[in-house]
Amino acid sequence: MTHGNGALEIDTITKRYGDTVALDGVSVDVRPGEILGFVGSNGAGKTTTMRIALGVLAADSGQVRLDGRPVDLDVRRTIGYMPEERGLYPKMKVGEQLTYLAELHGLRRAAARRATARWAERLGIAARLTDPVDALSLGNQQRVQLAAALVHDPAVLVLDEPFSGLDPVAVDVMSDVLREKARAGVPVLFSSHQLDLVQRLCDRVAIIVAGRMRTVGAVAEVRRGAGVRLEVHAPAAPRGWADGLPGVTVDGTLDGRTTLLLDRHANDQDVLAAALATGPVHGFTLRTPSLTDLYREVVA
Amino acid sequence: MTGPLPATRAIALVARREFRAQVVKKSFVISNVIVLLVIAGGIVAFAVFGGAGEEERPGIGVAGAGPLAAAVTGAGDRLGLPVDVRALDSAQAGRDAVAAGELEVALVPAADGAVAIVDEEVPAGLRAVLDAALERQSRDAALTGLGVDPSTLDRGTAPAVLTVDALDPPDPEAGQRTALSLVALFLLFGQILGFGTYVAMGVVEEKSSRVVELLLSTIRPLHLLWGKVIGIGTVGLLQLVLYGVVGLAAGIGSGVLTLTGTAVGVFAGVLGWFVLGFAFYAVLYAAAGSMVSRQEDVNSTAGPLMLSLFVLYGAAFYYVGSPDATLAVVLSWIPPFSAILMPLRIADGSATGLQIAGTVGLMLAAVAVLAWVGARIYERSVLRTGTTVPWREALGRSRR
Ligand SMILES: Nc1ncnc2c1ncn2[C@@H]1O[C@H](COP(=O)(O)OP(=O)(O)OP(=O)(O)O)[C@@H](O)[C@H]1O
Ligand SMILES: [Mg+2]
Repeated sequence: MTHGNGALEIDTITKRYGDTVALDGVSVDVRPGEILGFVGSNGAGKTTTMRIALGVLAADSGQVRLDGRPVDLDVRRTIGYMPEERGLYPKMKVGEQLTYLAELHGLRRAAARRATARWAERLGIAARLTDPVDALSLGNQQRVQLAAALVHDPAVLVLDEPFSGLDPVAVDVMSDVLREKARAGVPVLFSSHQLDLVQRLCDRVAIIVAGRMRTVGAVAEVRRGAGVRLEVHAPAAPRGWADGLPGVTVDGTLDGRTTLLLDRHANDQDVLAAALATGPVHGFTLRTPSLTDLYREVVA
Repeated sequence: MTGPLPATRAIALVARREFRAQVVKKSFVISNVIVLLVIAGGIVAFAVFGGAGEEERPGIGVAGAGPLAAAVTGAGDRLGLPVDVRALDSAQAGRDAVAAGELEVALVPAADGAVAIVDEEVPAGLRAVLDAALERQSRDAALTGLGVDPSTLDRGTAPAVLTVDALDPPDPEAGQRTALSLVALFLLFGQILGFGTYVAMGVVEEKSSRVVELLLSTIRPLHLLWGKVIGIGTVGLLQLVLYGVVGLAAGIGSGVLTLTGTAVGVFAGVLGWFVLGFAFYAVLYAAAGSMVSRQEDVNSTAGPLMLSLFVLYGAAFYYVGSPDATLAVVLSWIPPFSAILMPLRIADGSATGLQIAGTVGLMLAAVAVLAWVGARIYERSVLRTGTTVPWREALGRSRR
């Protein structure tokens, strides 16, 4: 059983489309039991990376390994994949389709049927098993698509924008499923533009910019690494009061409120002292940037 | 839990899905019911109404002056089959007129009755007229010439014999053989074209619905291709069997078909050659389907295949028209022409066992080569979306 005991390693992958370099030496490891959020602007290369990981696309160079073993078809069969462009047979019944896909991933018929029933129940589509896929709403088709990625009890999950188009309840179900899979030791890689969700759900985050991996790290660490934001309300402070404090950059001043960016070398207590020296201080608020702020900075 | 997936199981799974997807289509079921009704109904109707014949008065020439001409005219009128009778200068003149198609029958009096010169055979109705005329004439001759009591007539006169002299004696089976050939031709052509198109459409459907990306993350493109070809081809074969069995049953049951052995042989030949011809074309149709992303673009790449099928169809008609032409015989060896010409040669009885074995071998070799080429195109094109992949690029060297 290959179940959840190896990392998915994407190692220095390069992919060109004619003159465009879609991926330039992209590397990232997804460790067993962790959820890794893959973020980046449109066209940054997320989908290309995932398709290469699934062997649907060939890289120009680089390698993808699972548990140290290059990913071939037999390994690929143990991956649960949700392609960006959803794909199911539109006229085929939901239940038959899920069973078929489970069998194509190596399950025997009876096991495939049981897994279909279980995941349909879990994802709230049990009542639709005998309907053709194209009779379902988009969100429900999305749930079927997720079921298709899960129905063979995969050892790795690679999901391209799994949350797009889901209602809040479905988002919760999806989140629970991902957490549960990770707890079972499965490496989970998913891409998303919903950064609050990534921040909430992921252990680590990988930010890709124009085909290059910019940052990979624990969400909290990445947030801290980017420095903190300090808002000081000192109505009597003159312009430029904070200039010259080590590691401090003034971001802006409005109505006596100054926003400062502090890097790792800054000392917030020195800042407070400098502020008090100008007169009364009514507010002193420390903010760790959200992933969204951070992302804006990284991508800008 | 996921397990290994041997190639045979992967192909079988795909084939089973394709088979089921095909046979549950409502349009497919309905069209089959209609076709079966047409086959059975057509054959039975032919048995009931067929052979009603031509309405034109048959022309009969009678050589030598004498009462025979009048007897024929009289007999025709009496039997409700009026005939045109004309006098002939000689037996040879009658022969020429029959050969030229001017006369149906040339009647030449003989010592024991008369000789009927015909092209192929005496038409059934006319036979009765001629027999009646001969009998009447010999009876009159007996009455007037010999003064015999009419009551002893039947014993006293030698029976008038009608000897038939056919210029071009018919092969009693030729009609049925031709019919069988044409049926075989239509069936093969329709089945290969129809089911080849289903393959192309199925490939495009997987491409346009993007399910192919999911499928190819777990099975090889070749397995998907062969599963599809086998699944859809099986439906085509079973449909052919169904058509054949219903056709044979209706034909034999209604008496239209008497050449049971030949018919079954032709039927078996059609099934075998469908498998070969379909395999030949199906991979190409799959390749053509994989090169486009939208259903409406299929014609742009499948067009050449359809064209080549029409060329085959034309060659088959050429063969039916002149089965002994060298070109026709040579073509029947060449794949894919053999797929449609060999069943015809089996039907008309001109194919030897050796030729059948040889052409099957050649065809198998051609299928193997094309399967390789088609699979290559398919593998390279099936994940490309957007614009139609040109044939040149699909065949050239590139990677996905
Ligand atoms: N088939 C293709 N032909 C040419 N260029 C392509 C092709 N597919 C992708 N690209 C290019 O590769 C780059 C990466 O695209 P990719 O789809 O991986 O981005 P993404 O990060 O998934 O974006 P999005 O958030 O919009 O889904 C883009 O510049 C894109 O234009
Ligand atoms: Mg994408």
